[in-house]
Amino acid sequence: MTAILQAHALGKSYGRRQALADCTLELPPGHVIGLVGPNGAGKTTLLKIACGMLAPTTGQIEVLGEQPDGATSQLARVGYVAQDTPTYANLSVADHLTLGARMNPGWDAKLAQARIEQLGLQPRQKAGRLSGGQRAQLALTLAVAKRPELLILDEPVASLDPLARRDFLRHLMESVAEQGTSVILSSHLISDLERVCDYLVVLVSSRVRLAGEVDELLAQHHRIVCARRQESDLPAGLIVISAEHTDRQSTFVVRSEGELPAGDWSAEHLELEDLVLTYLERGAAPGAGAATRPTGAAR
Amino acid sequence: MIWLTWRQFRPQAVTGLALLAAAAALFLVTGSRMHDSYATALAGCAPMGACDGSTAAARALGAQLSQLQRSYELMFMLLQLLVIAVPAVIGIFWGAPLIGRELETGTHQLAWNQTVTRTRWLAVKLGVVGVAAIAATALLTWLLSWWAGPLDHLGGDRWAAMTFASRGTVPLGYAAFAFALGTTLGLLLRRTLPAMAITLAVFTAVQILMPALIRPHLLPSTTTTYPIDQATTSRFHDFQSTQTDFRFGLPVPKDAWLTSQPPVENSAGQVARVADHLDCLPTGATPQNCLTSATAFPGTTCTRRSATTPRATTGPCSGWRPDSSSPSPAHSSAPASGGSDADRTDPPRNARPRTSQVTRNIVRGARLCVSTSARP
Repeated sequence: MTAILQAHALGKSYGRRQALADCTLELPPGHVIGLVGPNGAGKTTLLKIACGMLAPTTGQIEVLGEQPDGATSQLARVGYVAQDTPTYANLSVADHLTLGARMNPGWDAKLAQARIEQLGLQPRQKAGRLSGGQRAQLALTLAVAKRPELLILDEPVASLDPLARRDFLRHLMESVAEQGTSVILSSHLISDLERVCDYLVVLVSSRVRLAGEVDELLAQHHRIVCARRQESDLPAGLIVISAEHTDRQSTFVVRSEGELPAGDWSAEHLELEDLVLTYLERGAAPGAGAATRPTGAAR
Repeated sequence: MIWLTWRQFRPQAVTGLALLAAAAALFLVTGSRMHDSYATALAGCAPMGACDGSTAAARALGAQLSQLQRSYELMFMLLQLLVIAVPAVIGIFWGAPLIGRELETGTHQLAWNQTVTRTRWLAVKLGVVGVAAIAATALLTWLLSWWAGPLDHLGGDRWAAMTFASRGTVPLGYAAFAFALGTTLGLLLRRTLPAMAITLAVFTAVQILMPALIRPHLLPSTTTTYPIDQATTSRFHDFQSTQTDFRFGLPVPKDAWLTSQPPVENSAGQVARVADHLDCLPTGATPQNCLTSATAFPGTTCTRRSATTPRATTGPCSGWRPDSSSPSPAHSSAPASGGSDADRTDPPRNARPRTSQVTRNIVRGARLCVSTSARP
């Protein structure tokens, strides 16, 4: 299986401001991929480049084996729901479905109709009168019903209340499960992603800090608590992600490719949220960056 | 894509059509009434063969026509203004939001991720709304041309700033310009309201600056000098004097735009002062008699087509007569302006040799005058 997204040394700058720098990434197909990072990490820029809305200043990117250049062949294969899920305020729900049908050769009218009914949207209602959640659902319907191979969603739930958020993600999962679509979903809230993602990419300051399948990542990372010692005193094969020391004891978050070797410590698995936060903290620390090896690249 | 463009444009198109229909009704109702009165008045004078006012009855009809002209003057002006303003309205309400609103609300991201390229998206939007903009203006211009037909015929000056900007293809050009201006500003500013405001400001400035500063210079201007003698003064009218100088209403070549009409000069190119020609007062006196006491007839000044500045000169030119083949007393063209521009705009082509004939005559005439005046 070829990667759905392959980026090499990808960079984008607006004048002097560097929005994305030296981003290298390879994402496997068939996953719901969560893209996590603090605000300003370059998530939106990366996703916009991926769907061909922006041209990168440096580096190469291939999405579904093609360069995203806004050509129709690529547009038909990639669905995109932009940040804040824009819809035409003056157009009705039915108008949006007509729009989708007229502008996409692969439009699945049945699916779109079914989704609108399931959501309880009135076809004659103007999109401008919909609630944030309904609007997001409408935008998702448009993106899903064109039957893309890859669906890219940029913070689709950021402005939704918890209930609408849960509904949206549930519908997203249903549509994706039916069609076997790959999904890239960005968020700065890990809790959103935890529920739906089986693959995770952590992006800090436009660099990939962590990438891998969620289950594997959880299995590989441990928090160990032991009597105070230096990092160098830990057995080889353990990669220290973070270290905290009190007078008597040390706490490490470590990563091990295989089984965690036995030792004079108590070890526990991390919650996904803690794991991500550890990487976010580490990425934000000064001097992090180049030394960090993007881990868990796709096989 | 055409569907989406049309669906987005529909409210504006419906408003535009309603306004256009209202304007058309206004044009048709008032226009047919005016056309009737005009036709009646003309029918009255045509059988007499005297629409030029040579008989008393014809003069009365002439007065009737002037009355018609006066009574529609205000409406004439307002309707011309309407045709001039329509491109601005189109630029503001059709142009500025076309892309500006998409960028403002982020909906371009929705459109750009359907299976339609951005090039096509832009081309269809510009094409559909742009053609609608030009078509709406064309319809309105056509209505105005029909409406104002009698008034234009009676005393229209096609070069008047408002007339020029509201007839023929000119409003269409302005509609295309205003639409492009609004669209571009919306695209650059990414906000609809500022784009609308700046479109209005820029378009208004252009409509004022074009006729005032640029249009008179689009083609090189022509200066025509008329000697004052028996042969020419019969073609002059309105001999007047101001405090210091004399002025004639001089014949203006057909389709020429009169940009200035300076006072009578003597052969040295100085303004003939009233103080030197007191025998011309009151201005009822025969000008060729009283003004010929000036010293000399000047050489002709450069002449160019399209914009004309007739000027009368004084001089004892009684010995000189224009060539019998020349259609006008003096219409000369400077060598410098004999370039391709003048050639291209000279209608009809077979008139060229005659024009140059006139040029030569005038130069010879000037020499003749100078030599005449040199005699004691």
